[in-house]
Amino acid sequence: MTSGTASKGRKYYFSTRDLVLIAVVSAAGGVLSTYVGYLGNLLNKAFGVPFGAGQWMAGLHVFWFVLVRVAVGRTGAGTLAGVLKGTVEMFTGSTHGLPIVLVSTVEGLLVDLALLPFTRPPLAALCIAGGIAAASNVVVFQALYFSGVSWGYLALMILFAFGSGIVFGGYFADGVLGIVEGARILHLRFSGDPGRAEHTGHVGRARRSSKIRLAVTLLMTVALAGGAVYYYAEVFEPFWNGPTCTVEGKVANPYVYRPVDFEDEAVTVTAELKGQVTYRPPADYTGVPLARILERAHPDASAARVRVLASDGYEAEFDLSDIMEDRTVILIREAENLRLIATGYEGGYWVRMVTRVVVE
Amino acid sequence: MITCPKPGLNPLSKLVLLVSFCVLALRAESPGHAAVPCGAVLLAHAAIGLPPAILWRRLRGIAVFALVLFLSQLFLTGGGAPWGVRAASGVRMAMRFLNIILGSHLFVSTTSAEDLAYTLMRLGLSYRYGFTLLIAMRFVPYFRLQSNTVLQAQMVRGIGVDRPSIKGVWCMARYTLVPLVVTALGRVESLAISMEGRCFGLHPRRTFLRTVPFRPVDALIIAGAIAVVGAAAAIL
Repeated sequence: MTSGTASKGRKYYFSTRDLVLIAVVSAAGGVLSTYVGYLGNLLNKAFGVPFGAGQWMAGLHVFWFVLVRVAVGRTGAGTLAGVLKGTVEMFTGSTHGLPIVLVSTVEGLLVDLALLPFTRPPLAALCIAGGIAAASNVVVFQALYFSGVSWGYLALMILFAFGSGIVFGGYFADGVLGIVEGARILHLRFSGDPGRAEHTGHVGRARRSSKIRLAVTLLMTVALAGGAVYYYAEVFEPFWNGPTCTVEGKVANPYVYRPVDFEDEAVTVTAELKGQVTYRPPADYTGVPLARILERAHPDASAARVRVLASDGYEAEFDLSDIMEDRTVILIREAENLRLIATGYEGGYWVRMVTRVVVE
Repeated sequence: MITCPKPGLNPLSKLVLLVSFCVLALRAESPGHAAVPCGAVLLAHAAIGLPPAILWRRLRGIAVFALVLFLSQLFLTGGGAPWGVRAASGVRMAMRFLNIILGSHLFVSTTSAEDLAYTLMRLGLSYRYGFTLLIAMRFVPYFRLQSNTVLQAQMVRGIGVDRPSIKGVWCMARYTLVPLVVTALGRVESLAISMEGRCFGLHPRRTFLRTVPFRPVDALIIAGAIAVVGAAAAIL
């Protein structure tokens, strides 16, 4: 048998069989990664986003590292497979170039680190290793290219990648190992002695309880669905949105105000903030006159006041006729919020984080 | 297929050049700084005799993704930064991406994995690990053929392995990866037995029939690349 690590008394950490296994699996992974990347791009197009949805495929990249780490049964196998797979990908025309070697190596290293305590990793450990390794690609690529993209979007990509890593890097890899072990295609290091396996209670992966699989699948589905629902409900905003506020109350045409819709009507005013606590010297502010925003909503003839409300409940009240005649009270964009620049009014009228404009 | 003539540098020199180039591309903070290495790498492509039409055909997808990067910087970055700042950031990121890919493309076009492995082995990398890279590269054409065969076979059976959906991804994994893994693992035992039968690993060192020369100009290039990166790190 070739699986020994000794040749003429010489001991090697990885046997020849281990090295061949790592090389062959890395080659297969490198070849298929091109197709996986292609499917990832198709997913992006299907979801209508420039990138991110392809992270559903991230687990298919780390699948090979988990597979080889468990099959070889030695720490370092994942990292070596990472280096090799990355190199194969680069030489076979990966669209990522040299960074794919870095990404792949980090993924393999993380698989090794996550599985460090285990000779025969349980399914949960495989899932965690797969998830962490798959999510790492988002972090590495973020560090290289995507600087400045909103944290929410990154968090969503990491969530997708982590989920994909759990499914494909952990659960699916475990299933494949069960198949190859059950079919006697490969003798895993930890299962080389069936008697020992029986004695220690380690039955073959092929015989792992289907109930555990079902439970893991359900758990992952609930976690992913919950995370996605939370994100879309609480965090996610389409990138074209920006900050908004509603214009409502005694108006004929209530609507949601978006600065981008009024870009051509922006004016620049010089204003000085004189508050009881805060003072800001005169500065230029560019934004849309509140009068113009209200005109679009067509206030009722009976309306007399306008209240500008912030997301934290703070509000300021103005005389409607004063506002409609004054083009220097403007709504500006400040970071991801709207702010009222009430030129000529006290500092208390300069409302931050505006979310509602109510005509009464 | 275009075969690029090799400029004759040692693969290690080219690898050091590539890494240095990527570091420079990552350090470049302004579009002007990024344009310098971009121009240099395009000139290098011309120097190795790669026609622009072929280069464009190979890299047009990359150009599209660079555009996506630019647009993502323009529209996805928060903080209320002015459009001009976002546009500059977008250009910087797109150029960074283009530079790294173009540099990698030049490296891959002029270097064979075999030469790189032999060079690393001559420099002290254990030949057992060097051969691992060679084995991996030699299996690439075989697995390409196998994966295409498996994909075509599954599609003929009506399995949606090429559909851009979550289910399609699962089908692809289940019906493509498993046959490919089984094929791959099926080769392991026979190859390992064959190698050990030829006493692979018996001795700690071995000689090589094929050698890749390392000349003084390679040493100069490596020293120069390191110096340029050091200077850039100090200036930029």
